[in-house]
Amino acid sequence: MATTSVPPKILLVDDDVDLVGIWKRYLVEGGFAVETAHDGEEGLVKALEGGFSLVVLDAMMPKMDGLAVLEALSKQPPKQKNGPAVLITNLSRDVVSAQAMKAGAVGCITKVDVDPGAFVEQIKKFVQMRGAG
Amino acid sequence: MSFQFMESPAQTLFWIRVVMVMTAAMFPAIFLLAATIPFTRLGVSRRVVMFVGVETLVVQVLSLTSLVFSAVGIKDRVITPVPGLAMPVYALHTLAYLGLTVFLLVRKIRRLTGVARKQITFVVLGIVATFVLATFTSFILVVVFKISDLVIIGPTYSLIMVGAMAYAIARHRFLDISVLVVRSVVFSLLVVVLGSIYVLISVLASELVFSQNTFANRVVVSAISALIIVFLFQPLRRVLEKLTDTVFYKGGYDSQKLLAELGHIMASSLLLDDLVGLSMKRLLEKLKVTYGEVVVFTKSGTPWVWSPKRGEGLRLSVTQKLIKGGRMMIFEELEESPDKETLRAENIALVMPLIVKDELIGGVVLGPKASGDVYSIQDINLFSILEPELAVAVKNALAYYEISQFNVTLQEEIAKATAELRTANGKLKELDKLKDEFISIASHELRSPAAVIKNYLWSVLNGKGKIDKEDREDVQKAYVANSRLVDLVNDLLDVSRIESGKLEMVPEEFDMVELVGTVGEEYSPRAKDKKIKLEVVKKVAKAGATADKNKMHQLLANLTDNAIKFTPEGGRVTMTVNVRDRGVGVSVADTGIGIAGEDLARLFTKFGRVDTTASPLGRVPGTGLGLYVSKKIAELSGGKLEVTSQVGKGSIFELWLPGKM
Repeated sequence: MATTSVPPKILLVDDDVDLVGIWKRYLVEGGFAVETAHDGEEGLVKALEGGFSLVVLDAMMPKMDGLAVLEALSKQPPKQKNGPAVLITNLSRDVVSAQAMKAGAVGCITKVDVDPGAFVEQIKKFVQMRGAG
Repeated sequence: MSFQFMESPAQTLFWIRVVMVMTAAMFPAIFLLAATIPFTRLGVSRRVVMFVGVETLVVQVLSLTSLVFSAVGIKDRVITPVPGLAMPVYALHTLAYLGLTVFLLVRKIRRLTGVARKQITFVVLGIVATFVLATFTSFILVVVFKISDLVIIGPTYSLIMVGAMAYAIARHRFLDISVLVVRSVVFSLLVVVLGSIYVLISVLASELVFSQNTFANRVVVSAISALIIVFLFQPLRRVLEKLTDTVFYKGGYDSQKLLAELGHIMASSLLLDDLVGLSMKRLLEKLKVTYGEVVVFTKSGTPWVWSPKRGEGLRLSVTQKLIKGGRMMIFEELEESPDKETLRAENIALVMPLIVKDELIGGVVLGPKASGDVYSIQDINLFSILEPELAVAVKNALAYYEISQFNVTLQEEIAKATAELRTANGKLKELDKLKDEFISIASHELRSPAAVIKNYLWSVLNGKGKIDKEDREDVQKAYVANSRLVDLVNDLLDVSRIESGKLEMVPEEFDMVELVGTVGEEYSPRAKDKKIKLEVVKKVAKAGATADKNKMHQLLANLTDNAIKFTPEGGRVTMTVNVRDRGVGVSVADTGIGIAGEDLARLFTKFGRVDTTASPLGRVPGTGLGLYVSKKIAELSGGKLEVTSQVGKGSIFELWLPGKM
């Protein structure tokens, strides 16, 4: 398969500006294009545009949390198809994980457990899971 | 004392002497009677009776001789007896007994009270009247005034005496021989009726059936008549008894039967209402009493009252006061007193307190009998037998009532306490929920900055920029400290959820051998840093277990982390996985500083850290919660976590999980 020159697009939705900043930096270094949003509403709008290989949603955000965004997305298909969704959180993993799976996410990452390197690794794995799209 | 006019003086004298014999016995008899009435037991000792008997006998014998009446003269139908030498003896005998009688009777009148006094008074008056008149007409008139005509009416005086006695019997229960009287009437009637029947049958039979008056016929007739009489006797007696009962004995009832009935009623119910109500109704009915009430004193102070018509009754203050007098009161027997006034005013005829073991528990108050008669001796006896039985029954019913009241109160108290407990429990649950929420939010909040710190410090440490050694070390220290912070938050969160029973375990089937391998790999960099040999020994190729894989990872990581932490440089940590005891066993053995006996006990408790400051390791960092959480995880998964250790030699932590379900 020929490699595309267009890097896979990641949508990163989290209200923690500092974390988003550093993750974006490392994701870009890791070869991804990154778009960010700082609350659920903004995230949903961007997600509906479509074209993302992976949508990363923070479980707890103002205005609309990650699970609500997922639900909204499942009801309203985006203009362009999106890849899978992953939930990130600082809440107890097992609590969020089950809910995330039910809502259709493919995974759950506990933010405080990963350093930037590991985070990027995990993202890469998730993207490869469903194939870049 | 009327003298039959006989043909000869000798016969007349004889009959006079006979009369004297009989009258000699009369006064002693009256004396004995006076000593006894109004009671039924003889009022003098046997010796006195014997003396009287003997003395009377002597006088009687004398009467037969010429010593008392020596002769008699009859002139113009007037009989004049001539007194003999011993007449003074006779007179003395008579007067002595008369005197004694009078003395006794007067003393009794003064001593006795109430109805007994009335009885005696009437009887005495009767006797006195009789004798005064008799003496007057038969003695004084004859001897002093020589008028014998009025002697004839002598016997009629006894009617006065009998009349007075009868009045005493009827109105004042004198000798209570009303029953005897009635039965005598019955018997007499029976005799008369049967006799008449016998005669009638005999006559009819002989006239109609057997015309010939042979011996054989007479025998047959007699036999048949007799047989008929025999068979008729009992039924006839019953009929007559019933008749006389209705005529004479209007208020009649069978005491035994009534007591048995009342006893039965009292035994059949523990409810005060039923017990008292039913037995009183029966009593009032049978005794034909106009009105009755029962008062029972309760612990609460307000007396319980039964009256035939609910809500209507005598004034409680009045009845209470009378009952509290503590003695049976019968209207007729009372002396004039404030109490008697009260009884008269309220139309109460009888007050009977109910006493159990010297405790006054209440009383019965009765109105007069419907017939207007006084309460008979039969009635009074009935009451005296009934009172203790009723008192005990009422006391028991009262106790039962008080217990059931207590039970009601108890139930109410229990319901109240339960409601309070429920509220408290609800509040506790609320509190618990709040605590969980708080911890959840707190840990989330704590984790956010910790995550930022972690990422940025890592970025510095792994960045392209050059940092000098010292700066690197500084940043490293910060990174490690932050990791500890994260661990602590994780542990606190775990502990909180374990405590509130909310630790969610998501069991899945996994291969323990694989997991042990993974953990070993994770910790080998750290082991290498500390120059500790970390070895993973797989005794089996695969060991299936069903548990929460993440939690197991956490547990094993905790054990391995501890092993490395507590083993000095150059030591060894061995992780062994095996299948044993129908389950999976993992042991983490180290050659560390070991754990002393007293510390072993505290090892799995919260914050139960071993003080290692004295050891070659110095102070070892840690939250003190790791092993507590690990042990809980093991137990909640149906397994166990145990430790063996020797100071200076090392420790072995053994985890066992049940095999695949």
